Amino acid sequence: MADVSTESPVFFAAAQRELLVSVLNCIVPAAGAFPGAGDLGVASYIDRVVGQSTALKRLFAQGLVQITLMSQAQYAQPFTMLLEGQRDAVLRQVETMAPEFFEVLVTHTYSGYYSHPTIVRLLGMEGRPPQPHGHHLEPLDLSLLDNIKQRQPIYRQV
Amino acid sequence: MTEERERVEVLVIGAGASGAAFTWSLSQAGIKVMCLEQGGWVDPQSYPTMLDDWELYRQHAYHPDPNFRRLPADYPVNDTASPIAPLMYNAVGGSTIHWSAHFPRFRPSDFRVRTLDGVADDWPLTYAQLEPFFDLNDRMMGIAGITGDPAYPPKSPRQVPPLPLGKLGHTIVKGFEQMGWHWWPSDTAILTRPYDGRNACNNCGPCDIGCSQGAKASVDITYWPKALAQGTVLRTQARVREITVRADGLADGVLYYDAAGHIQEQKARLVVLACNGIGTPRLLLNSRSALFPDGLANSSGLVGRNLMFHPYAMVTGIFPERLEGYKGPNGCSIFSQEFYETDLSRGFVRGYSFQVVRGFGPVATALGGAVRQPVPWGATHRLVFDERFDRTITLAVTGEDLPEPHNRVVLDPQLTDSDGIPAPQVSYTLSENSRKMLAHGVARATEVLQAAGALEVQVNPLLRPAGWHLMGTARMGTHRANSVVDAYGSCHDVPNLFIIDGSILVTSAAVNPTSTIQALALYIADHIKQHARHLRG
Repeated sequence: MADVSTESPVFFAAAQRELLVSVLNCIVPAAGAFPGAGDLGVASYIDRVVGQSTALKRLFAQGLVQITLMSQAQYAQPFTMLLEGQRDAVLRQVETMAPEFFEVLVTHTYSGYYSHPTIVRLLGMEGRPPQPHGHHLEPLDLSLLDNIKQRQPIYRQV
Repeated sequence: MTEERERVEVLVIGAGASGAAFTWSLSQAGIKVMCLEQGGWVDPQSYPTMLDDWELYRQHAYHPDPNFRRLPADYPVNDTASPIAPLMYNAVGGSTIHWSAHFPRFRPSDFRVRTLDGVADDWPLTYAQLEPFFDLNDRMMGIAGITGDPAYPPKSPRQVPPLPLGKLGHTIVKGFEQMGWHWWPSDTAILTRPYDGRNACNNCGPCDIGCSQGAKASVDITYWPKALAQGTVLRTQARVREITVRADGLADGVLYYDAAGHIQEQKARLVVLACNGIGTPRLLLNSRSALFPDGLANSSGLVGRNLMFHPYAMVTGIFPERLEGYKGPNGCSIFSQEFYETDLSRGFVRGYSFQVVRGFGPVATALGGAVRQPVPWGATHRLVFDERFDRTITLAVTGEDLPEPHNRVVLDPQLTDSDGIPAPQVSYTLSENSRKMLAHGVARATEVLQAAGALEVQVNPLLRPAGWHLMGTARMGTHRANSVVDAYGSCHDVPNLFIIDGSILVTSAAVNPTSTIQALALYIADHIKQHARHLRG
């Protein structure tokens, strides 16, 4: 994935983006060596993906509004000012109320996060795509088949 | 305005697995063949396995479902009345571009289901009759495996050694050994050594998004170069609209849209359908005429009926240690046919295979793998993801589907492709027999995964994006009342019209069908070559 922190915005306005970053840090929170999805810059990935689809633009625009409204309704505060437990509570409400939005939010957060080379490296996959290097595996040891070879035919003769 | 072209000897519609094998075989005998393919050539250098975001391609250009992928060569399928979504790909190479290349043969008993088990029908041919063509196809495709499997009659030597197991494969083998169940390295159309000018597999993992090494046998790199070198003409971006007939009821040729979208006519002496078990009935039903008001070659009413999938249940074991499952061809390692043959004490007829599937990449893991249960978001995300990633082994329970007339393909009354050709509509219900069979398979799969050391087992009782295998919709048989084609693939109603793809399969067996489909295509080609003078009409 490209250097997301310097990409120019496609769809989200600055305030929406700030909210989104905060939301993403709740979807995939920081844990140990793993950064939160917001801090990693996944908002730029989502911005690009959403910008290409009218349906996604609508879902995300409405979804972010619902997060804002729910935050105000429950805690009389903007989402970005809430405590961690409060943010999770708001998102769980929105997940129930707007399942279609929430599903694409989670799908694209995971997609952007787990295709990022930093994360791939942390997962111990050598931080690289499958080709051109591939992987090495030892050839199958045919002696493993000795037991099975002793069996009588298990196909029905015709 | 149509331009009439010179009449060709043989016109093949579709450049996939069966079209390629058939065309090559005829071209070997010096017969002039033209093939029309609605897709194009895929450049192996364009496969995204070299890109950082390779996994994401499965969400758009490499999505297995044409309804989501929507490339120019795709046509939509109304699959809302089916719990299984058909998956096909239109290109030179057809669905072999994206297949996992798991390559078992049907077994002898699969051709005698009615005689042995009192259900479905017998085929008008036997495993023994197909055997030389299985062998020929294996030589052309290049098969990794090893002879000695007690689940099959003795086979000719495989072209290259079997796929490596890796840590994942060794782990599941322990489970099968503990249960005392059959297992064997699968025959796979993936090279473990260089063969026929192609490279060996470098175990990169995601075969489904294309093999840039040329190790996986897609027919664009196995059969097509040889067929073209022997004088075959292959027209791409050529989408056939309908097959035309003469006043005497023989097939005359086709009408097709060329790359510029202009309608063209191509006449032929023999017309051969190789459009898969949904594309072929669709084309026949779209080829109505005064002589064939219910669709071409459809006096039996069976065109489109008896649609068979393989219903899949996916069972994923989560293990305590990393398994390096991202190494090695992701769909192929070993398989088990312990529960293949009928045993009525189980409560169902016929049986199933287990196909062991390797691990999932990071994105696929987060999104829920084969069981479609996404990793939860929030505070538990990291813990749960780390428990699952590279710690899973999945058994794909592959159940034999019985032919049922109500499972069928018809033309959708509204949906069309981008050229206005009516799209297919699929109606399918999972039978009670399949339901019981899959439940049994899930229970057995759970046992063997636990025996191998799985801490937790997740189940998807019926995988929706699983319609890779499309069978039965223009079945073979000896009478025109109960079949569409005869024992040599010739339509009872239209003797110079042949069908060579999965539509003609009488029963579905409990294994991937491509090896058998291609063997049948070669068998049919051989018969045509032997009777060439007679059939040229």
